[in-house]
Amino acid sequence: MTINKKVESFLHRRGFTHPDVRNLVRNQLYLVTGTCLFAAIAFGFAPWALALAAGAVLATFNFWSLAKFGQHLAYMRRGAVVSLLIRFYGRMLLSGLVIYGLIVWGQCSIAALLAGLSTVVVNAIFWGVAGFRQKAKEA
Amino acid sequence: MRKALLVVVNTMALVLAASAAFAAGVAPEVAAATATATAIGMAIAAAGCGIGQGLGLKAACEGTARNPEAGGKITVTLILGLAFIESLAIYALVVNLILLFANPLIG
Repeated sequence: MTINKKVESFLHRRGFTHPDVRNLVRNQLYLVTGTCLFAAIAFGFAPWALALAAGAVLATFNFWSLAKFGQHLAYMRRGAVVSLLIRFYGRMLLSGLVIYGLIVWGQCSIAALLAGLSTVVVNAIFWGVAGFRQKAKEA
Repeated sequence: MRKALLVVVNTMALVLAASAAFAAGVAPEVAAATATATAIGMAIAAAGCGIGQGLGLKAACEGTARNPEAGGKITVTLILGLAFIESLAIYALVVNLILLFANPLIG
């Protein structure tokens, strides 16, 4: 059993029933693991590395929650917009509290924190580029 | 109209009072302006992102209803769009928190 299948099986047990969404979340998990490893190896436990890892983990938590709920969103018959907005503002509140703690109490490096938070965007861009390349190959 | 004006004035008063409370060593008008700017900035960011997410979801639901077979692809695109929008809101949040608590311009 390859590592991909193990991770996907783990995600399936956690409620990610849609295969493409599972792949997206799997890629995000790989990306955050790689980012944390890179930060630990390259910079040790410097504040910069910890801020990078904290940003990446926070972004992954947000993405996990969004993807888990989002895979059922388009099929909901009632209350999709309200539940999406409530979850969005709830996540925003939690993220705000964590980022407040990191910036004010932890005195984290802002650039590192933003770099960590951008891992979701990087993942989405990779996904888009991979899809585009696949379409170009098929054409 | 009168009620809305009352709510806006009350919110401004609360924001200004809060800014005066936490401003130590900073000119009160600077602190007040910063607090007001961050409140307005975050409000605009959150509202804009909320509207964007709602519109994206509306389009995804319409697309899935018209062509249920394309639901899988639409779902992935929807999640990516929502993630992008949410990232923007988080960036705005970080910028506003920097302005409030770690503002390099007022040392």
